[in-house]
Amino acid sequence: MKDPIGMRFWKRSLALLALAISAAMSGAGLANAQLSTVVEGEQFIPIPVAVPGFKGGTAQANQIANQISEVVRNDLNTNARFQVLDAALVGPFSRDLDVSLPPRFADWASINTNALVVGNVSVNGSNMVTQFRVWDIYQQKELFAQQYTVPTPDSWRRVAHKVADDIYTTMTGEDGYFDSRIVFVSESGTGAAKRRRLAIMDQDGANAEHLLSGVNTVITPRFSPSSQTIIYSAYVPDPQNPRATLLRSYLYDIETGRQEVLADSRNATDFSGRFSPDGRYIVMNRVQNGNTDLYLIDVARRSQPPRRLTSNPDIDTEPSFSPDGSKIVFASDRSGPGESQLYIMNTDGSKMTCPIGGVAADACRISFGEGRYSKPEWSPRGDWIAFTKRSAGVWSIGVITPDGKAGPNGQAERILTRAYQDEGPTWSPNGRVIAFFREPGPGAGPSLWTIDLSGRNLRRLPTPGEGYASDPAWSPLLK
Amino acid sequence: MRVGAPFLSLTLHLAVVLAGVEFASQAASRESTPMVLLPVELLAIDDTTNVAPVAAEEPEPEAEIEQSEPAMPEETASPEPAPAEAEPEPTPVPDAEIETPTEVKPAEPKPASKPAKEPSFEDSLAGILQSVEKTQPKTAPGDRKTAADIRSVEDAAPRRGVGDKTRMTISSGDFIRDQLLRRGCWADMDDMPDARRLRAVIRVRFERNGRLLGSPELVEPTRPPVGNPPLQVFIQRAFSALNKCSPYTLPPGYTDKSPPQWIDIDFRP
Repeated sequence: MKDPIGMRFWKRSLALLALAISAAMSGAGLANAQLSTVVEGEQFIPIPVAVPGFKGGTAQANQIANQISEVVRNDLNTNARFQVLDAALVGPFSRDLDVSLPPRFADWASINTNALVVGNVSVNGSNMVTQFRVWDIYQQKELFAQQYTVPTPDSWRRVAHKVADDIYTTMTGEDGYFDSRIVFVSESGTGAAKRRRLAIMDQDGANAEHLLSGVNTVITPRFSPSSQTIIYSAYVPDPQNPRATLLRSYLYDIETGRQEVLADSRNATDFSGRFSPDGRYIVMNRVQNGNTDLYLIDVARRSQPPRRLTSNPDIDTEPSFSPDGSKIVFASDRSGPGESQLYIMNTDGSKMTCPIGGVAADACRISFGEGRYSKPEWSPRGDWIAFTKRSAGVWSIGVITPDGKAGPNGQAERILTRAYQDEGPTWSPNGRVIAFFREPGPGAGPSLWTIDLSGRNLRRLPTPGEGYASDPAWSPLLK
Repeated sequence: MRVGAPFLSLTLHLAVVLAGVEFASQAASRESTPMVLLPVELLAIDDTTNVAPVAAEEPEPEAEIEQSEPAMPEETASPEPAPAEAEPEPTPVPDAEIETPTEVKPAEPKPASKPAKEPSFEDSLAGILQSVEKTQPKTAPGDRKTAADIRSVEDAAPRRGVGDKTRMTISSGDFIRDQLLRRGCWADMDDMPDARRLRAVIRVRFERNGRLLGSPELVEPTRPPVGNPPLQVFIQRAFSALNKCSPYTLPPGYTDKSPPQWIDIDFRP
């Protein structure tokens, strides 16, 4: 059926009018036709950062300023995501830098640095004031500025780590980890003279010192969430039999040096204790009547018997809390004699639906690879669980997703290192770096190493004395 | 609205004139004429472009990871228990205290986000006449990156044919993208927290000398990512990357149009 001509006319006219208005509304539509493109990074490139020496008004302040900037440079350089420019490259542009003035951006752009850190230190009486700014060279804008005041210049090293953490956060959007410590077992001597002493140091190896004399052999130290208490286990003489030893767990207060036995463990052996994220509980191994299970201790009521979390004839060991404290990962041979795989369970002992398989169980297996998995530690970020793996005689440090399912890269498990012997991973407070101990060859002795979660930037951590060290545990960020 | 009253007036007059012509032709023929569809050629986007290659700096090679693989031990050597007296010697560790930090000055606020882009003339035409289906490809957020997978898309007009410079403009985005990548201005950031959710679309245009014309504008996210530091940093780094690579080698023909065309650059980790 044909439309009347008049109707068609009005329809067409209205359409053309709408078209014209639309063209007007779209602005210079033809001239400004939109183009678009998707840009995804294809290659990892560390962020170039320039950290010229901080300035100080006096000779003392200048010396401290140089020390602070040196530590900041070292911190950033030890991280895979940064490339600190050489002093020789930076020097020519550094002379007239002033923390209160913008830099000459063109100068710094000419040496291809993305960011510039300008700082100043002043000492007034006993107070030390450190100011710094982070500049984005290509946007020509300030990204961050901060001032730290400390009651004594002796604290310059901690200030430096805090500055480095601020830069890290500014440039990555993540929390830093430089203002933290590592507790470990320092080893010296051989044979009967071998000593394994509890020791502590800054994460960069500075300020290392022994906490205990080494009379007793120490293993598996771990920090409390406050970083002020360490739980560790030690082989001590058996009061009932002077020729025998017992493995007992202790709490050590870093501030006071005071320590006490974790729990009454007559007729039992306690070890591998770890604090819950809120510090209220400790999960540990207890061997009783020949069976190794997981137990939970209420720290405020530790005179009371611990609560048993697992009860089966297999060996359940090396527990570690999830960041929210609701779950525990541990190693167990319940999948078969001689095997050791990783399992997760609810901290309250209730049944859970297994992420793989979907069945309800007290504990769910998350690792299925060949070899023996051990010493799991849940990342503070919650996205990975680090572990030690031994397969076909090769030792590795790896990470696995908490549910054992494929992660963002399509894999559930990622192996980061391989060596004669790599063991005992521990996470940096921000979940980006893993410290562990490595024995590079037979009789070579263990030492501490770090590696980025990405598998980049394997580095050896300096430790005092002979440098033999094992069982590292990273603290949370210091308060 | 970016166009002033003169242009609006001109287009309205044009509409009236066209309506008059239409009425005259209808009155003359007195017959019904079917609506004419505009021819549309769908464009396949190739891996290669017909523009000159960009002279780019090679990014630095990635640092090698040290791996040692000596002969492996047969069995684990667990710590040997050493019987001794239980008398640990505590040594207090002085812990330097730091006073509450004082913020010198907060970082500058981010530029206000821009509204979604306006429809082009051709889009409006297609909508009114209902004769053209939008067929432009969409890049899924989860798409992984390979050189072959990454595509540049022209949002606007259906292609009008070879030789009218449309073929050049379709690859203009690629042209800029290649410089951002090959000159190391934009790098892989897959290791950022929750990287799959990070995205920033920034609208830019260029002067004849290849420098950015005016300030790049954040199109997405439409709101400042308050409380999302990784996304804030991601956006900052995208802006910084755009500035770092300036000046750009512009695609041939880009400067023929006035004002210069906008390009939306969709940054992904």
